[in-house]
Amino acid sequence: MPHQCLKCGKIFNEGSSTVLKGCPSCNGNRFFFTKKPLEDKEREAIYTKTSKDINSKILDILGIDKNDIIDNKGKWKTMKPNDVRKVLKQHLNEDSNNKKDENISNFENKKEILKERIESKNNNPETINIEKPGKYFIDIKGLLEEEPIIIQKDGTYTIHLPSIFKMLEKEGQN
Amino acid sequence: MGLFGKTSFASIIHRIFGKKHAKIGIYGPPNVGKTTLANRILRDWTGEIMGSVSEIPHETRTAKWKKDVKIENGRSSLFMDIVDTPGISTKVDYKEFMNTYGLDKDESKQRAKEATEGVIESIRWLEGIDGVLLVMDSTQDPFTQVNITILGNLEARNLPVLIAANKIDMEKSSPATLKSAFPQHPVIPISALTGYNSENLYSTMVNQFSRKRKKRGR
Repeated sequence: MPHQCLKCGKIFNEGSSTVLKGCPSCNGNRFFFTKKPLEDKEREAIYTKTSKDINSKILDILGIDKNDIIDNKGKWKTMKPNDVRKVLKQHLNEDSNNKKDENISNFENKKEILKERIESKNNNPETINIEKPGKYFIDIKGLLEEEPIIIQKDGTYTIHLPSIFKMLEKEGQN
Repeated sequence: MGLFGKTSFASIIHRIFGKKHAKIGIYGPPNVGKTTLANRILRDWTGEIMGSVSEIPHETRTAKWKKDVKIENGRSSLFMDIVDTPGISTKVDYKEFMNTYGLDKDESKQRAKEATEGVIESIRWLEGIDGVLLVMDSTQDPFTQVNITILGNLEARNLPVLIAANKIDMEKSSPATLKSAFPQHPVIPISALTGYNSENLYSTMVNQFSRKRKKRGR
């Protein structure tokens, strides 16, 4: 009972294969799933609403011009991956020309900051710096103030853990 | 009622039920799963996460903490402030980040520097911590300089310690080795990644960290 042909109002059993083949009496291919048969007026209203061409319906929803996505033969335009890339590129260029530059300069900035921070002599955790075997920089002030013993050689750190614990104990006492 | 004024009544309650709020530090060498465990605890009890995890050692380079995480064990419960600390190590080699994990040179050097500062920060956080959840990798040899140094210092501070023998989901893991290495502390085998045996960990945490802290002897 539940399927009703929207064109002629004929009723079919639930799961009937007619819904796939189309209505045998009127060739209608839109069916409404309902417990009670619809009144003729109601049925016609739904029919006119749904019988609108699906292409124009999609255009309505998307709110774009017909010529943009449908060619003059009435078929959907097809796009290859390359076309999509082209359109995206164009779109990005138009939209964020300024932003892009900003991002690049941000990135370069970051690199510079990173380099500066690595090379800066201030705020380094190490107390002993081995520039090359035989050439050492020793932070005497730090070591006298019981800063932890940390040896740095070419970016690799060796950490003397007991000296950090000792520093903490001394700080706790003060 | 004169004997039991408001304040003395509260202090009696406090004495009977002990300290119900504890600041717990998650400590351990790099890459043993400290943040994974912190995330597991927070997800199980608060639904949040602590920080990002990575297979590259020293992912956590500054301590992170979460306040008032309520962990229940049957009838008793404990509010904990969970502190996830950077991994403690004796050597940070930037070449390891470059060669093993493919970071670029500048990035690796910066990571090494931050990791070294992280080691100091971790140990600084010990001040004011009530108990330590020491995470170890049960697939690795437990007798390392880092493990022994940390444990020795925690014992000297009389801090309650609970050892989490992590990564028992891995084939090579041997939590029994950890148990026999440190018989003086409770050792709970867990998998922070899969959550295996986490219930057992939580109940031991509540028991272990609810105990009143002994007076610190230095």
